[in-house]
Amino acid sequence: MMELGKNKTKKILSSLKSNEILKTNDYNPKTKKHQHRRRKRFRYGFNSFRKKQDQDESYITIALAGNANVGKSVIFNELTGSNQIIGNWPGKTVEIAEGKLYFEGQNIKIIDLPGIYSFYTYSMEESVTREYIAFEKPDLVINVIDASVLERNLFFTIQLLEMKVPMLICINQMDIAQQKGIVIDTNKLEAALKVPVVPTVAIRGEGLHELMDKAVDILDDAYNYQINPIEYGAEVERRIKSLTRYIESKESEIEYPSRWVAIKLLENDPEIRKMVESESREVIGRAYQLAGEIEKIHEEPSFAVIASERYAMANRISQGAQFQKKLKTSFAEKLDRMVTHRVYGYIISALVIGGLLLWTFVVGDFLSGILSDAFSFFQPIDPQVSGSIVSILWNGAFGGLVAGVTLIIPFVIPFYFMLSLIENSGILTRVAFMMDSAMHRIGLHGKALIPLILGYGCNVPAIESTRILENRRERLLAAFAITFAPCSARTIVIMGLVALYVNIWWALALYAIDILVMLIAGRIAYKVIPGETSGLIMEMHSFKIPSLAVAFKQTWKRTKSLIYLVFPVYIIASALIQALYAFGFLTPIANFLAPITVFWLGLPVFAGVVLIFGAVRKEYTILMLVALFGTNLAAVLTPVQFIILALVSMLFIPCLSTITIMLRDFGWKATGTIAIANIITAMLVGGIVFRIINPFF
Amino acid sequence: MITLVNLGNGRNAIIRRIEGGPGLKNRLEVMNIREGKKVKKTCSGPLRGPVVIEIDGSKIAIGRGMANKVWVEEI
Repeated sequence: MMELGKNKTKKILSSLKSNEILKTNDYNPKTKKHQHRRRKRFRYGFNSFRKKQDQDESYITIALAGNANVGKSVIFNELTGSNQIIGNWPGKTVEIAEGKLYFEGQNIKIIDLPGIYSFYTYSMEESVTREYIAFEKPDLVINVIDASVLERNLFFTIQLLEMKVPMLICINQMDIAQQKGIVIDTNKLEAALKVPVVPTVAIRGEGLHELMDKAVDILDDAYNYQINPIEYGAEVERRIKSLTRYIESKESEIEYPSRWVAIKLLENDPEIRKMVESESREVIGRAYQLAGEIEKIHEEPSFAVIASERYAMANRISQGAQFQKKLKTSFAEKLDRMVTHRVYGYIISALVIGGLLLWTFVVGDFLSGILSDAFSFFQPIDPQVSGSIVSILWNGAFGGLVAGVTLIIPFVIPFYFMLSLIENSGILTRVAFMMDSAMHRIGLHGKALIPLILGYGCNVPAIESTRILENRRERLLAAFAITFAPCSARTIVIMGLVALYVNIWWALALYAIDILVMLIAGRIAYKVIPGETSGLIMEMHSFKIPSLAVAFKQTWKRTKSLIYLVFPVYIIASALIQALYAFGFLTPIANFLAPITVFWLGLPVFAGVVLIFGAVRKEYTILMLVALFGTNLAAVLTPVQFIILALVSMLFIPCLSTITIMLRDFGWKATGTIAIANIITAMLVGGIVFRIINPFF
Repeated sequence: MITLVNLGNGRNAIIRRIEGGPGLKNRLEVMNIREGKKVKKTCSGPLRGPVVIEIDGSKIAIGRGMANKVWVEEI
């Protein structure tokens, strides 16, 4: 039986490990760079580097566990120098991240567990966390708690205590608690929980040294450490003890502690029941009988009785350890009233989203200009379609690199930078709140706005982040809407073709059309895919001044993963296109597509090829045109053709990397359906718009 | 008793009953929204938008559909 449980965890964990998001920050103390970074980022530990050489490679494992959005990822990053994505919205850590730290002569492996609220098996995160703790047996679990919502966090702490793992409590975000007028007496908390408690403000690195000190102390057995679960009310407690003894007498081989199994059985947890059932039916029978007794006494289901007792404990402990000062209406409070106001709220939401995009265009355009100037200084990037194969390929590859550096980087960096400032300030959740009822029209709730906005930067991370949504149906609907979101690459196409060769107003009109199409297509998809929309439950964290350092780190992390994904494709495909064209392979394809491109969309014959290569990366639409005709595109396309080409290339299929990520998350069928829906939408909209605007030119 | 939707802005109340299955109850419970808790309604979103309540100093937005299943007694 134990084997079964173990295998399952192994499977989950290994599938997590195979995921590229799991990363290990292997830092080598011998390199100067790391020493320097370590000293700067984490004030202690320099002296201990020298000792490292004669240490063996055995690791102590410390896992960070706690509710979502309490700062586990911040602590993880501070400790390991790894760059987990941090944001002020719940649910980012779905995988298990792992990093390493060297502290006072110890090699320590830090595990960042997903943020969860309880140990039920309603979600994958909860199962993963509890199985990790039970089967991988970390040497120490640091329970990270949000000081400003102590009671709710303690509900999880109590369950963690029941798992009997060596444990240390880190009360984080003490600064926010202070802002809310909450004073916490950590000594009282320590006494009530019988677990060491360390207060921290992780975002500023405060208290982390003490935290690790305490952790190492516990591991050195300085505390003679013993975990004591908190007792329930007499009626429940007696039955838990009785069942615990019964389980112990059966000498079962379940990895979980007996008391915990007993409680879970009384709560009727399906997974634990199944696990125990295959070993001993008598235990199940006994549990059933005891749960019945509890239900009889309290006239409520046993799981509800146990849950409310836990809440009562959490309430008692938190009331005993904290004190609420009276506060005047703070500035943050006033600001909050403003951004959720029925009129100003919408204006501010629009300003936030609009400002983000405008900022991206302005800064992006500026940076792009500088970079292209810098590159043309080295080598002109005019396409070359004759000469030796080597020189054609080289020219193409260089062109691809230049396109990447001058088109993607300048737009993506300012976008991600501003986005992480907005994310961390907490205003994004207010925008999500304001947009909730509008989002319901396309079958999503307000939280789905966050992936959609991310989609304006790049669809790939946006689709990845749809995991914050409740179920597969909602994730699919959101992903479908995202495939229409005008990402930075599409923006480049709109700007490069329409703003440059027609005028800025038509470019903006295309943007508006795109958003309209996104809403209509989303609405249709919502009607087509059966199911009910789950409601919004979202914590609206207090506003905070975003940290620039965190924003820089996040921007770099997101940009880096994009570069790794995109640049190789860019360079190779660009060289390939140029070669294919030079050897005359493209003309037959263009001719084959002529009925659609020429007759329905009113584009020139070569547009077919341009669009096909645009499916690799959207910017190829421009790159390809430039490769074929040089920079004077006005000679080969009319204004209407510029508009239609940009419109179709914007809508007609998600780019190759988006398709890749959708395949990974949703499988062939869903991805194929979405791609076909995209193509049909693009053809319909393109043809109709062509017939409408043609008379005006 | 009234639901959270009908509770006036800025009013305090105690949650008395939550309708719905264990799934919904659990989603609310983990956010500390459960029977017997004192809540304060902060505001409700326009256009049938969500309701924002304050529990123990933290603000939580709840979709209107769900808020309609949470029955409270004003105090």
